Amino acid sequence: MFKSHLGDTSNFQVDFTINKSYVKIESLVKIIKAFFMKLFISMVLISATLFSANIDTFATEEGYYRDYQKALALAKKEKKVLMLVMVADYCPWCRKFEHKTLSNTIVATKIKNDFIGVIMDKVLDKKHYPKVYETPLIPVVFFIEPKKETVLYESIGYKKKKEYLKTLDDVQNMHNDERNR
Amino acid sequence: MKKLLLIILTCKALFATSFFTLDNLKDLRIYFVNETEFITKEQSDGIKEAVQARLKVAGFTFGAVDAATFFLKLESMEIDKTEVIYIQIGIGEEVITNRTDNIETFAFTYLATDFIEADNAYFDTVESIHYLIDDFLSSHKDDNEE
Repeated sequence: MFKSHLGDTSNFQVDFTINKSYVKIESLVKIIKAFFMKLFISMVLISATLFSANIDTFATEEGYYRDYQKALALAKKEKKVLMLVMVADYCPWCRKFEHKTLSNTIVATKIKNDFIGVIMDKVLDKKHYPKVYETPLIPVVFFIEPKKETVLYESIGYKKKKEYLKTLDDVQNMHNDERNR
Repeated sequence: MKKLLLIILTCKALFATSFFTLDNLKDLRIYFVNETEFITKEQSDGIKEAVQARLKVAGFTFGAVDAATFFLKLESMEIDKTEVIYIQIGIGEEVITNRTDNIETFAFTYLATDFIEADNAYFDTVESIHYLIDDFLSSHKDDNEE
């Protein structure tokens, strides 16, 4: 049986070669290509409509900076880790990460107490953050040691609150180790 | 196209759950559209009942007013004597948008699809439906755990 879904395309490459004529394979490949194109367009449309971003609202509500340099200066002054959240307005995973993880009361309180948060749109704010943080994957969070402006840890992708709280603890420990050196 | 596939596969590998948010989703009604010719009325009713039973076991309730719609749509076409089947499941409900005046509209708040070529159209379709429902239930569980 030939069976495929988004995460399992390796299966159909193998099964394509079994008892199928070349013409039929060509037709199926065309259909699958059309299907993925249709799916891609739908995803982009859904993202653009349902998940239209308001990064400024999120920053205001959760107390994140929108100015990298200001946030860095404060992080240096308060000797806290700078938490740079990189998102994009077309990214549904970013919206989910903001709404479910970063807005969670426990996570938000921990961030407010121990970190200086700054949030950037990787495309729209491109000129407002250092080039070194340009990334093909989002959401990404860079935990930056403010003194040397080096990345302590990079958290890639959507993280659930429990997992993210552990990341925050780990980063906090790394920061303390760094300070005690 | 290769790049697109790579992006999709990378995303799928990186993120186990769905990017849709299924928090507090409890009341459902089922809407089943069968646009295939290989599934009989009896089989169609059987699929609907099986889907509803699985959702009930997972804690969803049916019969409430203004419940979200859980839809299941089956489409098929024949290519060189091979049945190609497109299966979609999703949730449709009223949502408040971010547009001016916060317009309310009906929107799909969950969508998952499968595209199969089947030797045994009915059994392979049922298998695919269960696979999609597994993913849906797993996403729902992830989103609703404390």
